[in-house]
Amino acid sequence: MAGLKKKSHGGTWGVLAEFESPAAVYHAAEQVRDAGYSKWDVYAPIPIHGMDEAMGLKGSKMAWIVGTFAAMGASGGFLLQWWTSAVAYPIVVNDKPFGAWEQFTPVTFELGVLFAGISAVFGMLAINGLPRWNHPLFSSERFLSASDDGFFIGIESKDAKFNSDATSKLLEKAGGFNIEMVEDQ
Amino acid sequence: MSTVHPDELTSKRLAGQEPEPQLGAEMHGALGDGTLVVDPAVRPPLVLGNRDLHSVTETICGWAENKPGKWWTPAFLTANGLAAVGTLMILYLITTGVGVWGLNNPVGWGWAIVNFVWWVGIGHAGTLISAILCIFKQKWRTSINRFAEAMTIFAVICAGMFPGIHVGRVWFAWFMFPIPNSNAIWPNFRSPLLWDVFAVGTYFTVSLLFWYMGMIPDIATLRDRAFKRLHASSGMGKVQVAIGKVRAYAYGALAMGWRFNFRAWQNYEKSYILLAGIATPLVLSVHSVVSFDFAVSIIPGWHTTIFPPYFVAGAIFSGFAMVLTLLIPARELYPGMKDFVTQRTLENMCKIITVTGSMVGFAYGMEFFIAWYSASSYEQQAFIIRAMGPYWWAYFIMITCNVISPQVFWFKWARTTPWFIFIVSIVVNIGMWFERFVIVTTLSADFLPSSWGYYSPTYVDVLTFVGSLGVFMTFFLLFCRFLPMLAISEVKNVMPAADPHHPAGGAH
Amino acid sequence: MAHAIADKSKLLSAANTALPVGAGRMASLALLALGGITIALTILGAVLGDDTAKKVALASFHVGFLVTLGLALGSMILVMILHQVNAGWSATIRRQLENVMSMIPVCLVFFLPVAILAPMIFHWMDPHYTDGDVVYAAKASFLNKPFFYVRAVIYFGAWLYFSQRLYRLSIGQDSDGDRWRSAKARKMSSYGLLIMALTTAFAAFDWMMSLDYHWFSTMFGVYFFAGFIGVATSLCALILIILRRAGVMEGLVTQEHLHDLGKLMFGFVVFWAYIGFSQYFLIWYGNIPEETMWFQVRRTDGWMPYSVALAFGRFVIPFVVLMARPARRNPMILATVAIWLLAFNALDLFWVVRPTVHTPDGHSIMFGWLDAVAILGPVCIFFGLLVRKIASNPVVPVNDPRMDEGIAHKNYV
Repeated sequence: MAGLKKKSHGGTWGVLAEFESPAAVYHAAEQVRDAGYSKWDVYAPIPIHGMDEAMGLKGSKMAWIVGTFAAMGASGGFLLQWWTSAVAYPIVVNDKPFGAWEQFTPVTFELGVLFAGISAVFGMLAINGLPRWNHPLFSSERFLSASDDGFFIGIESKDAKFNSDATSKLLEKAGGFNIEMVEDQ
Repeated sequence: MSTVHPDELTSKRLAGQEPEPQLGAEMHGALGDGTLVVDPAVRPPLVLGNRDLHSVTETICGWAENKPGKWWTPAFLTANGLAAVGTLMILYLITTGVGVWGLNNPVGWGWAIVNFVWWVGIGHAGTLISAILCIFKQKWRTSINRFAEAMTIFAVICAGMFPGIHVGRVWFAWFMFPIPNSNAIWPNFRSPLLWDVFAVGTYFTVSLLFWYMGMIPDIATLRDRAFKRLHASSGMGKVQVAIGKVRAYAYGALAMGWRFNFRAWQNYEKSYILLAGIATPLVLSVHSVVSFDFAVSIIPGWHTTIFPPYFVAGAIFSGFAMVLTLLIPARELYPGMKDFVTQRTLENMCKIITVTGSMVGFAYGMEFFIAWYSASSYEQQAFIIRAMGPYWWAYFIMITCNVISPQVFWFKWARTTPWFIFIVSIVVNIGMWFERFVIVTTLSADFLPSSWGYYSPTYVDVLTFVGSLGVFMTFFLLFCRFLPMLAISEVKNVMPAADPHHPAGGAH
Repeated sequence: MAHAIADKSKLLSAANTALPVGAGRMASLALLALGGITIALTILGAVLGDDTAKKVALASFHVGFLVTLGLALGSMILVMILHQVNAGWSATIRRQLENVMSMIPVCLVFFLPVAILAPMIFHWMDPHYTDGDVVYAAKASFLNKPFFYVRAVIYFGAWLYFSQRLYRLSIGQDSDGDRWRSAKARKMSSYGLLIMALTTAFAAFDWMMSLDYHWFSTMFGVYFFAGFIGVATSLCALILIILRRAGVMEGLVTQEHLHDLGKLMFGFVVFWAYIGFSQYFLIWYGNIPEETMWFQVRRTDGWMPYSVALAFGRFVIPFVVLMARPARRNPMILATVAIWLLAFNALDLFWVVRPTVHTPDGHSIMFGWLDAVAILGPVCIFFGLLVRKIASNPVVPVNDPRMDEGIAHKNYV
């Protein structure tokens, strides 16, 4: 442990179980979903297709965020151009009308896209609770293979149905192995 | 679930579970390197070499973790040297004035604008590959999108440099942005040059974010591996541990705490497809705005309505050529890359080059036809001078390289021979540079024959361009050295081993 | 996956892929009858009316012809693209595009009256306009009657050749199951697309741009492929939704396919707007009289409301509606948008063609009942015959080598 400090504040973050394959974790997720847990997640190196159904998740809210910001960027961009060119500093260029919409279209579009793009990335990070420096799961040595070829399910102790024995059994019955309690930090 | 994975039939046939379709003898051999097959019932596999998920991680991360080949340092130093020359030229320009370039009257735009448009055009392939091919669900793109996006970012940096230094008094460059100031003046939003600032600025920002967001999971993979190595660092020296720590924490910071949970993946995937959706019209708009620089003027030869889509087609054309120019040597230099960047990828890219080259040819033809059809003598004269005037040689190079050379890819041999593709890709890059040169030098013969002139570059023009190539290569080599060159999680995701409904993914 | 293959034979059984005998006969007859009546009314209106009415009738009939031609050409280009890119998802929807594509001969029949009566609306054929016109003299070697007809023969020759060959390759595969037919179709589509690009662009120059023969725009050809492919996609979605309601294609064409067609509709709505805006914008900005005159007419003289309606109806409204993922996955909404886009495509062509017809003293003539019947005539007959065509073949190319991929198609994100 060269210089990697691990401080424990006691308490349990939850239970983590490993699964053999995408199919195994997929079917295990269906069982956890049916058991009625809510604070749990599947960890895999890839977004497994169809997992949202297996986990019983609703669709992502990203589209609303991005759409709102795109509309804000475009309308703000148009107003900025119209106000600077037609109100604050009207100068005659090319004999164009000061406030003609045509000439403002390119920048209006670009600003809409700019806002949408920024909100897509930072909105995604924000609703995922990122960035964060550390997470209890990172203290599990096995867990590091979630970024390679490991498939995991983690159920948090905050979940109302959480019971360390029963939850571990459920995961084991669903095909999990290397089941471990992850300490909170 | 009654779903059949698209690659299922192929994998079954390869495993001998289904009757082999009647293929010619050469087809059997061709399957081995992922070449496209004529048989419509067969799809070549996307990832070769019987790889599992772990070996994908090992190979791709290995390129960033291990020392690169002996070629890397000399290449990096050469690129640095060229970049230094370019920097000196820019310093000379700023301290002396734009007079050190070959600009004159009437040709007020020279190499700087040619280089700008050329680089921006090259920068379009990255977003095309990641966004447009993503929307069209072209799975073969996963092995090249990271590479192409990186190329985009660096190409746009090089592009942005040129108009920036072209303004002459660069310390007034902030005038391009709508910043409240004591003179109470605002930028002119009716100028295409200002649209350029917004278009290229947005393009750079969104491409950078797209590239970075795509990389977050892969950097997290590198982070986890770096920490694993630290955990097992008992035999390492102090310096190695220190370097290891820097790596681990640098990747850790960049990965933003990504921990591969599906709830995050779900938002991530949605966000990715939304970014792809907005990046697609963005690609079109950026080069359209660049074309507006020319087309909104009433200069014969510039003012033509087909410019926006024609510029976009040309941009994709040159960008794909540049990706191939970088990809083909990389495939040779990095062990194992051919398993991901298969012949299928190269062949598909060659086909896109032929399509876009033909679109460009279509636009050249339309311009010529309409110039004649317009019955406007200025318009007609502009095109006659282009083809037969003092710059006839540039026009000749443009047509040969852009319209004729990509037609070689109608032949299977040409599409499947990497060294040959490499040569054609360079030819296309040259051709596209000359296309912009031909357009810019249209200025040399304007309405009044008495003010016609001839433009030639000075050594400063030439060396600044060479310098921009150096800047580009410097960034690119750094990218190859430290970042995941292929999109690890995306490559994994198109493998049968990642599909929960496929036997390779554990389904029964 | 054994059950998937068992499913497949059930999915592709005749009950799921063939319409019952006589299906759609009433609809077809009704459309043909309506077409017959409207054509009779058009002829009546033209014969009884004055010179201007005759011109209006012909110009609007021309619009009707172009609507049908656009659907057929757009479908053909789309079929070629799908072959060329080796698309798998589209295996189950391609037959409907092929049905529309195979209607080119019907378009040829509609073209004949336009070709014969052309001098009434193509002013460059009329010496009354061209005498002493230097602009016409400069382009007379292109815009002259013999060459105009020769070109029309070339265009239709190419279109008939490609549409009938591709159609027969696909229909033939239904019976013999030879998958190499798909390879042949792919090969044809490669150079076919090149020829389609040139013929469609020049046909647009000949039959639309030359109506105002002083005017020119390099983008004009591209504007039409953009629009045509978009409406072809809309029509395909509409046919599929109707067929699904008729009880066939269960499990073959699913919400997933409609979703993707919806995306293509959305994409081409945006692409059409991009091309249309760029063309307008460059001319607006350049502000040279020889170019602006075309838009000048359409921005004044009562045509302005049509232009605004076009911008909103052909772009803004479908753009907003189709942006929502649920809308693209809802057959009712998608069908509504498809019909809407078909209507606004007709408005687009009307907006291009009809302002070139004036009263003898140079005034514009707005949309009237004669326009309505003249456009509806060819369109109704086209759809009437299309319904019969759809009923006469399996609704999917049952032996397509990509059928498995088409059935398995799913959008994950």
